[in-house]
Amino acid sequence: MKEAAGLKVPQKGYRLFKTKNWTVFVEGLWHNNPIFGMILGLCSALAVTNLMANALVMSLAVIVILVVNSTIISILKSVIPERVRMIAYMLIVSTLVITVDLMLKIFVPDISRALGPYVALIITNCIIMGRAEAFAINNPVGLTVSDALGAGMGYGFSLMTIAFFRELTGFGSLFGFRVIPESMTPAALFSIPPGAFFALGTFILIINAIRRRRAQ
Amino acid sequence: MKHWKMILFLIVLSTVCTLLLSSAQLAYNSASAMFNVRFYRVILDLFEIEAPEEMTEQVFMENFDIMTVGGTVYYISKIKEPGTVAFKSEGSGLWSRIEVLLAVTADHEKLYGMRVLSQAETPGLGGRISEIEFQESFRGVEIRPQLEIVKFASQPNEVDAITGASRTAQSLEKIINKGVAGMDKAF
Repeated sequence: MKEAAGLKVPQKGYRLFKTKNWTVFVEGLWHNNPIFGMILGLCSALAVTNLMANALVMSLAVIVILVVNSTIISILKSVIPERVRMIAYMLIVSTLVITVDLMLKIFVPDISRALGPYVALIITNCIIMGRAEAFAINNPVGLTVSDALGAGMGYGFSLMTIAFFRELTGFGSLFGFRVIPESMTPAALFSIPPGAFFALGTFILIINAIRRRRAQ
Repeated sequence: MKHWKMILFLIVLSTVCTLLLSSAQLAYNSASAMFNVRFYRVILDLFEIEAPEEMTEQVFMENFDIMTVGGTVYYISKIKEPGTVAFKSEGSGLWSRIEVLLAVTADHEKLYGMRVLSQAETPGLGGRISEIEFQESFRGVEIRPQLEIVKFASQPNEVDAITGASRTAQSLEKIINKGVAGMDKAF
């Protein structure tokens, strides 16, 4: 078994924070966050962050697919022939995504319609393939689940933060509940696609400033 | 056979995936009957007919006759506002397909009501056609000679448009008038 990408496990602190699982989890959640660390999966992050409800459902879909996909690949890692591993990832992730897409259509049809093609496009989302190829294929199941959860929740955290500001400024509401008085006109710019670029850019700028300060 | 293991693996994996997908599709098909019930619920709400959730289909059948003419399904009210005809119409908006439900009064002169069933127009601008206030402004509007969505509605056949959503309003107007023209042909 390979060491998980040369991670340093802290020696001091609570027992939970000393485990390798925790280190791998935080790595995906913060240091190698898909959105602002690795700059992956931006297409969906731009498209579905206009409303918090959309961002939440999209994040949950990605987390579920990521965790299940990584787990399956980690379990099958000794069976998957190396030369066809990409085909195997594709088959597994397509099956998962189509199933989740159909479930969303049945249970939350309105949100499914708002998400449009972006759920189906999770198949080609770099985060899923990235975690499968970079981590799941040569790590044990337990660590893989931590890694997938970290990356998935990191993606979800970024999406929800962007959606929070976009919905607040663009619609004056949160999860559809109006929080800014009716008399104030919301800045519709933030609810339309160009606003997504401004919001995402600002988000990455702020996060990078925080990370740089912490590194010093 | 050098690669038998690889081939066997792919055959097994594809078979498993195909089976899983087929069962998901079957589950989806059996659940899609639900979509009909959801559509009936929209019509009942438009006509302000009360019905408990589990009786939706039954109450709907008691209240409406269903008639299919030239590919469009018409739902004709029997009890409330008898003769009122409800039907779907759709067309392209600025970005997306817009699907609306229209209800025309028995004399075919006025809209009884309008509901937007699906759209993905610009949120906050064209997307506001999904707001109930906007949809309610179509109640009792005349459709002769044509319904018009304009800046300041003053005539009985005019509806107030949404600021910043001219193209969506134009499309919506076209979709409604197209639906009404189809109904004229059918009856």
